[in-house]
Amino acid sequence: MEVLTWLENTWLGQFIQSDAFAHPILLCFHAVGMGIVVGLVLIFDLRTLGYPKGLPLRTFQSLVGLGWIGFAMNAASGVLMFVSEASTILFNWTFQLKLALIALGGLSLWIMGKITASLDPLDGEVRFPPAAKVWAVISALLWIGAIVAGRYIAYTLKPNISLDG
Amino acid sequence: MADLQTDILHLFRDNPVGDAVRDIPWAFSVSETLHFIGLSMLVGALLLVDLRILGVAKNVSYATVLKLVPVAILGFAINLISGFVLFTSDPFMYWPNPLFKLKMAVVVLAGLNALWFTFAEEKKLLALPEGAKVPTMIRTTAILSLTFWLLVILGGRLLPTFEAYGDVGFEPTPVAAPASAP
Repeated sequence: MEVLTWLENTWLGQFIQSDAFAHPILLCFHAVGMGIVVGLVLIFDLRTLGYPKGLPLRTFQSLVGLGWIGFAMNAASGVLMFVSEASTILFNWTFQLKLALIALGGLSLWIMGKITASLDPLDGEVRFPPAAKVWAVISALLWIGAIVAGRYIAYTLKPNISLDG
Repeated sequence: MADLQTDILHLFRDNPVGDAVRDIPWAFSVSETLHFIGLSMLVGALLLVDLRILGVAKNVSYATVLKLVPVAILGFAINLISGFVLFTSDPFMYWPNPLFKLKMAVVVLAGLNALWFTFAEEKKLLALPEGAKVPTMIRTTAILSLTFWLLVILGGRLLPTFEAYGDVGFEPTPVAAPASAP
C-alpha cells in the first residue's frame, strides 16, 4: 500500500501531522458537522415516528441543504485527517465500521425519502407508513453507531492509551 | 483561595462516581460517546427551533417547533451527566485548563439565554399574529443560542489542546486506588 504512505508524506499529510493546531481544528469542524448531520437526522427520525405532530415533511426538505453542508464539512475534515494517517487508519476496524455505518445511514435516509415521496409535504398531520417508521429506527441506530465507532477510533489508533484516558 | 479550589476539586474527584469512572475501563469512553450523542440531540433540536425563529420553514407554527425543546433539554441532561462523570475522572486536569473554564462560562450563558427566551420571550412569540415580523429581541436570543452552543462545541473539542495539567500549583493528593493500568 505505497499510495497510503505516499499520501502521508505529501506536504499536506506532513503539515497536518506536525502542526500543533491542524488536527484539533479539523476535529472542531468534524464535531460541528456531526452535530448538524446527526442532529437533523435524529429529529427527522423522531418526526417520522410521530413526534412532534404538526411538523410537515417540507420543513425537513428545506433543511436538506444544511444537512449537506454539515456532511461536506465532515467529508472534507475527514479526508484531511485520513491523509495524515492513511497507512494506519485504513486498516483500523473502527474506522472501517464507521465508514460502513455512514454509508448505510445514508442509504437508510434515501430509502426513507423514497417511502415518503408520495406523502403530502405540506401536511403537518401526515401519517408515516410503518415501513418509514422501521427505517427511522434503523437510521437513528446507524447514525448513533457511526458516532460510537468514530469515538473509538481514538482508542484503537493509539493502543498505548488506555480506555480510561 | 487555591486551598478552597483544591478542596472542591477533591470533592469532585474522591467520590463513588469518580472512583467508578477511574476503575471501570470502559466508563470514560462510554461517557465521551454519550457526550457526542447528547450534543447531536441538542444541536438538532435547537437548529429547528432557532432557524424557525430566524425565518426558515415559515409554514410551521412556533408552537410546533417549540415541542422540540424537551429534546434539546434531554440532550443537555445527557451531556450534563456524562460531562460530570468525565470531570470526576480527573478534575485536577480539567480545572486548570483555561478553555475548560471558558467552556463552562459559555454553557452558563447559553443556559441563561434559554431561560430568558423561555420565561420572557416565548409567550410573545406564541402570541404573534401569523406572518408578523419576529421582534429583534427574540431573533437575538435565537442567534445567541446558535452562537453559544457552537462555541461550547469548539471549546469542548479543543480541551485536550489547551490542557494545562499541573500548571497552577495545585497539589492533589494521589487517588486512593490507582487508575486502571495505562
